[in-house]
Amino acid sequence: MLRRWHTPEWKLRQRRITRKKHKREGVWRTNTPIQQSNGITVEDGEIKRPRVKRASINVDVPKKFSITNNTEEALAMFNKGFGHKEAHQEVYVNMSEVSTMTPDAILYLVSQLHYYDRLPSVRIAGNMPADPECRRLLVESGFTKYVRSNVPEPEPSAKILSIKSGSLVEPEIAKQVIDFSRGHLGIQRNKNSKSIYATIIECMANTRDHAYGPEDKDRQWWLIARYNDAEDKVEFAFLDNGYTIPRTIQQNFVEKAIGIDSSLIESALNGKFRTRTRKRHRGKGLPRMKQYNDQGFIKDLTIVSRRAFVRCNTGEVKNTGSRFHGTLLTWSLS
Amino acid sequence: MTMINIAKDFSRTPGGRHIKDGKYSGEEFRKKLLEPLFADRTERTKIVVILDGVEGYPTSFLEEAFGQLARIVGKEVCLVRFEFVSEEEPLLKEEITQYIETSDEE
Repeated sequence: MLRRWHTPEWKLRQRRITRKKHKREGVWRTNTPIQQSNGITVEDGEIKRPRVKRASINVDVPKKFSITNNTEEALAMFNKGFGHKEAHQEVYVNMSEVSTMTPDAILYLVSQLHYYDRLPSVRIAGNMPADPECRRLLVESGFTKYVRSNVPEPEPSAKILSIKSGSLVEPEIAKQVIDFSRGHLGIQRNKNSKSIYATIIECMANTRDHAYGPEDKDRQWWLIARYNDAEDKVEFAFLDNGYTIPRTIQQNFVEKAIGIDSSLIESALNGKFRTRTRKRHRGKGLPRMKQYNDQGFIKDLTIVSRRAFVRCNTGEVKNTGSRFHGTLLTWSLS
Repeated sequence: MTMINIAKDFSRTPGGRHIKDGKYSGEEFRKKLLEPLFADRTERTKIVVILDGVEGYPTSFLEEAFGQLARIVGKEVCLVRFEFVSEEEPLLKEEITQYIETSDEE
């Protein structure tokens, strides 16, 4: 007869072990509960301790932690650490060597942690950057709200609008972003601010309507804004973890065979009939964003989606070696 | 003449396309403020739409509000009845007119 029991001392010891782990400074982990043994079981006089064996992966975050400015290295790191959701694994994200960091990389990290938080087979933990500026940016971005951490809650920062997320089109959040921009740049309601507002709503609507399939229950978008006082501009990053633009837009037979992601995005930006709804009155969001960029109402529009990288200002169009899971748009306003 | 000030009569923060997508959608605007004015298909009263005072207009909002209305009631009657006013963004008038004119293209 199978019996389960454990002594009170055993339970107390387990609690002490858990508390000791969290006392180390500047560490974090996802909310996936630590799997304890359910207790010692005794079967035919033999003690059995069921445990889950986990593969361990150490991931070193590159010193320049940026999707838009260090694309290959950053994406390779993400794919190494977050690419194996089937196997039981523990991932340790080492950020100690990071010396520069951009909000888009933080956004992607948080979105990936959010995704893996729902998978009991994957447990992720990590540390904070040693560099004080990067550490401050990470904390003020709201990163610690999405993980379990002993890092104290930050004071609201004037220079960063912490991470926002949602699954609907949220005009109030878009308004918050505009007010944040106005506060730093001293602009009134004009074509620039209206372009930003319209762009944000378009991004949310695109996520809602196109980025995910009908079976996806979690249709999150993620948004962050930061005031870069060195360059006197506000930088925005918006992303979703959906199907990606190259997958969701209409492709002809040749494009499906060859599959050049960057040229597909370029085509969609230029207003070629690409919407997967196949309706002529749809698919105007991306061309309009590009138009705003071309007219100077927004700047530095950059899109990363699946294996595509398009930087509108410089005309840089390339395919990346590693895949980006979703779509990232960044732009700025000065 | 009927006047609609979108910022005062609807919202200063227009949203996405459909009601299911979130607040202040183009569909909500069309159903609440525009479609009742076209209940009588023979009506030809001018409708002046003031576009100023909002934070911005996503394309999906405008197309769903005016383009879809044109698909429902006909683009000719929309083009006759609507008059758009925008001092902040004069090009918006042309953009909305284009959505109406191309509403029947599939």
